[in-house]
Amino acid sequence: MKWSEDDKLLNDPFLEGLIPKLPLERTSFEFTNTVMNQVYASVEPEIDPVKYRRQMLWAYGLIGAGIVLIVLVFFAVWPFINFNLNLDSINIISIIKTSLVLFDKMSQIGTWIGESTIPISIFFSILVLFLFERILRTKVSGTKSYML
Amino acid sequence: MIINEVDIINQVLGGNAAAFRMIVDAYKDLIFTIVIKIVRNREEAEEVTQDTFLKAYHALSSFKNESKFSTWIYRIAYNTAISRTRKKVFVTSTIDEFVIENYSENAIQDTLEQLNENERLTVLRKAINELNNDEQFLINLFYFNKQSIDEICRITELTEANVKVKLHRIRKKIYVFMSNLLNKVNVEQGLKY
Repeated sequence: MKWSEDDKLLNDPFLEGLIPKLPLERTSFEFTNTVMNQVYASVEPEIDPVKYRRQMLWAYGLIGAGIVLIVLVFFAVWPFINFNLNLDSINIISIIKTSLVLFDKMSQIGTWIGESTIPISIFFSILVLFLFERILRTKVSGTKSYML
Repeated sequence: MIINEVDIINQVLGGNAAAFRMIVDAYKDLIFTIVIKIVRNREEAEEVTQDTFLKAYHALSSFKNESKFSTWIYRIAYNTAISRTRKKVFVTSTIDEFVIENYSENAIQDTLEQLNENERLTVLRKAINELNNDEQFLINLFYFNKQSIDEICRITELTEANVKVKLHRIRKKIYVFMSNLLNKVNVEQGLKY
């Protein structure tokens, strides 16, 4: 359709005259007061679900990457995590024993963290990642605002 | 609009939050009318309309007068509404092209002219109610809220050609639906005699 010639197809005096006479949908009686009370109370508008989901995706991605990083580093440098579970003979005693081993290992991890500088560099890396994500997300949401 | 929006916006930005009430009063029903076409639920439409005003209030400083204030706030309303429904509107028309192109607008207008205004409005309202949500939204923006094609493009982020084609088709559909309604009334009246 060539609209330069056919713009007149949109001009319809009949509808233009009739449609504005249709009644408006009315908000509730207290609508203005409700809005103004929220304005006075500095209520923040609800975050758009799409924008919220985008932000949460960043957060979940970052947490996931952090966990993967930690697991990889731990398994690479800690040879003492080497559970030997015999799947044929799993019973309550072995589970309890395993749990005790786990607590023991966790205690060792705590001690190791206290003595080592490697965890400090890991946590620092995560902090840098977190800050990077914050800066990037601010930039992205700044350019894709719902406002004009 | 009778109110001077720029003055009110300057007042609000200057710290007089109470002045925002005039904007709410001026736009609440216009926005509610277009929002309800998208969300199709009064309670939810009212929540979306409230949220629209809150967003507008908090973002008022970003309004640069590059567009009409109405276009700016309708865009916020549109985005808030489609975000709430979690889907983009604007689906393709389902009515048969053959049906759309084969009727006489003048004949329908002549028939409607014979009715009194209330009856005409009733037929029109019923015809518009048969349109899809997105079609009702567009027709409201264009004919009711008096937004230009360019302003509708800004609100919906559709291309100009797309908006024109859609409006043209919607207008045709309204006539088809009005024609069907008038025929139905004629048949029913004929059966009575």
